[in-house]
Amino acid sequence: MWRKIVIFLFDYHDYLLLILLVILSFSILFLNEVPEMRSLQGEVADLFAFIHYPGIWLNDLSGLLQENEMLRQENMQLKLQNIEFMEAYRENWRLKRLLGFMDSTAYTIVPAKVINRGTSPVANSILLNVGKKLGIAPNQAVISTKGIIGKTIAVGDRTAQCQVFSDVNFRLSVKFQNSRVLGLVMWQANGMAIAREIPLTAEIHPGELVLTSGYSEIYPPNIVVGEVVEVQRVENEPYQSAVIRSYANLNTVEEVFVIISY
Amino acid sequence: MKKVPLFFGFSLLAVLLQLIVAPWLTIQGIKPDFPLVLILFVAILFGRVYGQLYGFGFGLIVDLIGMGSFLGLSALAKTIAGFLAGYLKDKRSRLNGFTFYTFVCFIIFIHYLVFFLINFHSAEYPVQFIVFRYILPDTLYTAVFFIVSDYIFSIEKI
Repeated sequence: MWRKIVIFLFDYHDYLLLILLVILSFSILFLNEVPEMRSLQGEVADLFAFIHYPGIWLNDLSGLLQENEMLRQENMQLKLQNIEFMEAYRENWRLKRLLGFMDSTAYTIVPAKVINRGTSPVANSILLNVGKKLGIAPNQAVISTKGIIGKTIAVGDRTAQCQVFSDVNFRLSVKFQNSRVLGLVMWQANGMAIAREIPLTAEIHPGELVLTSGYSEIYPPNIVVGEVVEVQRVENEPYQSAVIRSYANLNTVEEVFVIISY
Repeated sequence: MKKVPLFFGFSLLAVLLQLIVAPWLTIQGIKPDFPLVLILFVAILFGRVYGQLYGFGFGLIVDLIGMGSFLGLSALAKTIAGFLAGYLKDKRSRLNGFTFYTFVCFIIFIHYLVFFLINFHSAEYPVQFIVFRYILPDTLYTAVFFIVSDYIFSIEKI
């Protein structure tokens, strides 16, 4: 009996190994959301980040890096404040006060550079040159001066991995600035994002600004996402969809900001 | 045992190429997969067992440093590619170039099929769209680099 088993194992060892490795791969896939896994991914990305540092060092040789970063940070804060003010004008402030809303413009942001776009055949994430040492943690919003970029998912000491908005598995809660209707946005293969299942009663028009809704622990409200380029309605369907063009160019973005508190 | 440092050397080279050179070679979001080319070489030279083990290990490293949204996905796709490419061990001299490269293209296609179908499982993309937009272009682009590498290093002579 044992002899037969040994012979069987010997004869089919390559197939058995394949089954074992496939099971192992699926196990890792299913463990993806375990924080320890993401932490490990962050640490390894950290380890390999040194490859990109000479290039970054050359870019920063001008010596104006610190001043530049400060100015960008200030610029970013002013832009965010500006968006907040515009929003405030559009809303009924009296009702806001009655509801006990607090105006908050005190974003704490950390400027970061994109040092790598990954080895994956699809643009799922980018690697940033900031990590735990600067207060970065998983699930923090990443933005650029033009709008939303994504969120941090795995963080090492000096690097952070950011899942970008163009990842097909990324979902973002948004609101349409004029109609105030909410939607859940996902990326499409044509380079646009789409918000589905918007009630037909909501009047959405091309050109309308799309902002983060704020109904999320990750993204503060009123961060620009993009603008509506097309409204799709299907006959006899109770819902409509809005095609959204992202303002931020996710393929070429080089400098971003991580919102560490708001 | 003498080949172990060589393996490490080539593996590191493939990672560096993927991290530094591949972004420059990207056309419309399609980029070559240097680690896959190396895995195919290893599997064709050493067979199914080494091919799939190397594919799994290297795939996992690629997943860890490559920042894919699914950890373990490259490991899975590259394990299968390594296993299938192992069937081509000692076949390089017996098959004519066209047949050999057709098999290689088929293996790369299977690799990307596994990768993209799982990667896009939550997206509402039609399968034919994934095949024509991602799988076929990536397959052909990576196959070109495999053929060029084979021309330079020649599997037949190693």
